Order: sequence, then C-alpha cells, then structure tokens
Amino acid sequence: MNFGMNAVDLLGWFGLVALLAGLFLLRRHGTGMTGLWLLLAALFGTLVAVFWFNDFRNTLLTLSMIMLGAALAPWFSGKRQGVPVGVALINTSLGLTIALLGLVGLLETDCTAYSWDIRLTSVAGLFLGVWIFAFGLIAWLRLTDYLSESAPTPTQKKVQAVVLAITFALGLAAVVWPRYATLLLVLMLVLTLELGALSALGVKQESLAAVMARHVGFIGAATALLGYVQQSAFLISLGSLAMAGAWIFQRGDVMFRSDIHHHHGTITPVQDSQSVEPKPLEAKAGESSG
Amino acid sequence: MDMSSALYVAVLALSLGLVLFQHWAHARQGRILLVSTVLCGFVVIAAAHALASAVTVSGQVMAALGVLFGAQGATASLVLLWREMAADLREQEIETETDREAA
Repeated sequence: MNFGMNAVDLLGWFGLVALLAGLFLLRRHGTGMTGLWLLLAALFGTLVAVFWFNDFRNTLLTLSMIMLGAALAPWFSGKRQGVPVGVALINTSLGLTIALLGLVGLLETDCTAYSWDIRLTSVAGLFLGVWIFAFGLIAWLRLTDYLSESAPTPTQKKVQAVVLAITFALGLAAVVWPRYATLLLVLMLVLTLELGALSALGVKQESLAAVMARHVGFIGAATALLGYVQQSAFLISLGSLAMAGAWIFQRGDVMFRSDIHHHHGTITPVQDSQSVEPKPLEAKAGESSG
Repeated sequence: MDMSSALYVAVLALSLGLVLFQHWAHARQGRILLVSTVLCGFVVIAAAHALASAVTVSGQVMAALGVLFGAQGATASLVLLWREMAADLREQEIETETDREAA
C-alpha cells in the first residue's frame, strides 16, 4: 500500500498528536487554557510545515492574506450578538474557502489523465462549500432579524427536491465530461446558491442553531474531501474529527457559557447566574431543512 | 494516497472523534461545537498548501482568497472558543470563592 503523502503530513503527524492531546485537555475539568494553546501550536506548526516543504513559495502572499483575515476576524465573530451569530459568520467564510479550494482542485487537475476521483471530490467540495456559504449568510441574516422565516409549501418542497436532483446531475456531468465543465459548473453553482438560501429560510427559528451545527459537520466532511484532493491524511483525519464533534453536539440541550455572561454584563454576580437561567438553545436532530 | 487508505483514515478518525466527544460535562457541551469549528478552521492549512503549490494564475488568485477567508474563519472560531473558555474559568473561580466563603 502506497501512502503517497503530501508535505503537510510529515509535520502534520506531530500536529495531530498535539491536537488530540489538546482535545483531551479541553474535556477535562480544571486544565485551564492549556488545551487551546495546544490547538494553536498544532495550527501554527503545520502552517510552518506547509511553507517549509513548498520551498517558501508564495509565502509572503500567504502570510499577508492570513494577517488580513485574522485582522478582519474580530468584526466577524458576533461579539455583541452571541455565539450562534458567530457560528453563522464562521460558516459563511469557511464555506467560501471550501468552495474556492474545490475550484482550485478542479482547475489544477489534469482532466485528460485518469483522475475522476479527484474531480468527483472537488465537485462535491464545491457543492458543499457553496451550500454552506449560502446557508450561513441567510442564517446570519435570520439571526440578526433582517429576514423572517418563510416555510416552503409542499409543492415548493417537491420543486426544490427536483432542483436538487438537477444540481446533482449537473455536478456528475461536470465530472464525466470535463470538456464542458465550466458551463455545467456555473449552472450548478447558481442552483446550489439558491437551494442553500431557500433551505436556510425554511428552518424554524428555534432549530436554526442545531441545523447550523449540522452544517459545521458538513464543513468537516468537505475538509476531509479536500484532504483527499490534496492527498493529505492530516486533513482527512481533522475533517472526520470535526464531523464527529458536530454530530455529537447536535443531540441534546446546549448552552454557551459566554452567552450567559454576555446577557448579564461582564461581571456576573453569583446569585444572578443561578436565578436567571438563559433559555437553552434547543439542538435536536431530525428537523430537516427541506 | 489511494482511495482505500483515505477511507481507512477517515473511518478511524470519525470513530475516534465519536468516542472523544462523548460524555463531556453538561456545562461544557457548548464547547464541542466551538472545538469543531476550530477543527474546521484548520482548512486554512489546505488553502495555504493550495496557494503554495498552485501552478496557474487563476488558481493562485482563488487560493489566496481562500486563505483570506479561511484565516478569518479560523481566527473567529478561536476567538469564540477563547471567550467560551474564559467565561467557564470565571465561573469556576466564582464557584470556588463562594465555596470558600461558605466554609
């Protein structure tokens, strides 16, 4: 068996060990911030590995883009509106990233060679990314009260199912006939944008958080698919871990500690935190998004 | 990497995650979602790798935009997890203080 590993995996293995240790520490009581530091160390170590093993190609561009994104982040983390808004914004930006990476994977693959698996995973990543982007954007607008719920009628649901089937058919056709891929992919992207936005409009307000958690799982799945495109076991395992976490999360009641404090100001008196319990966000599996 | 080894890695990591994320204390179950978003934020590594190994100009442009948005999402998820853990730690401190006062 040939593990044709990508450059990330050489140091990524140590990154994965640090990350798993961090996860164990995050779970245990009374370990403070150590788990988070381990996650950060894994992230930066693997980034350095990427630069190192690609001979520092485009490093300046990458670093400036990372700095720019990190500088933009505080405005897009929902500081005043609470955790679900922040998760919606994260879904939006990560969905965009995944869609772009799927496009890059399609562009950079030699379509005359025998590479249908790479093209298939790229198209699947593209579909997931665009869907997550549209869903996150509309969910953000819903959570900040710019848009209201509009549940689809049964006829609209049938039409949406047909459009979804057409979207899948277009994606498959783009994989099978790469010569016409551009036209097919543009059509597929338009339909996917529309479907993702419509599905976010149809979700009930109280189950929006749970459906967003499921979409975090979709991001994990897309990360695993992109890991296959880039031949990286590190990314495949990370994506699967994220998928498992989102799957576990969306069953059971949830409340975010930072949201509790956020509603009562920065310093919470003890009696307040015990008498005024915030309404837990109900996260249940099974509310389908149409 | 061929498809079978990729599937082996995916299934093993998925089952490890399912075991690892189970039975967290109820107070810190909100953390699970934020940890998952942080793990998803690692997609910025995929973007950086795509940018470093891209050969076409349009591929480089798209990968650069991918790095931008990926870094933004990763940082935002880290900020959210940080805030959640800080709130948790503050709560623990308050609890220990009240315990000391009661004792």
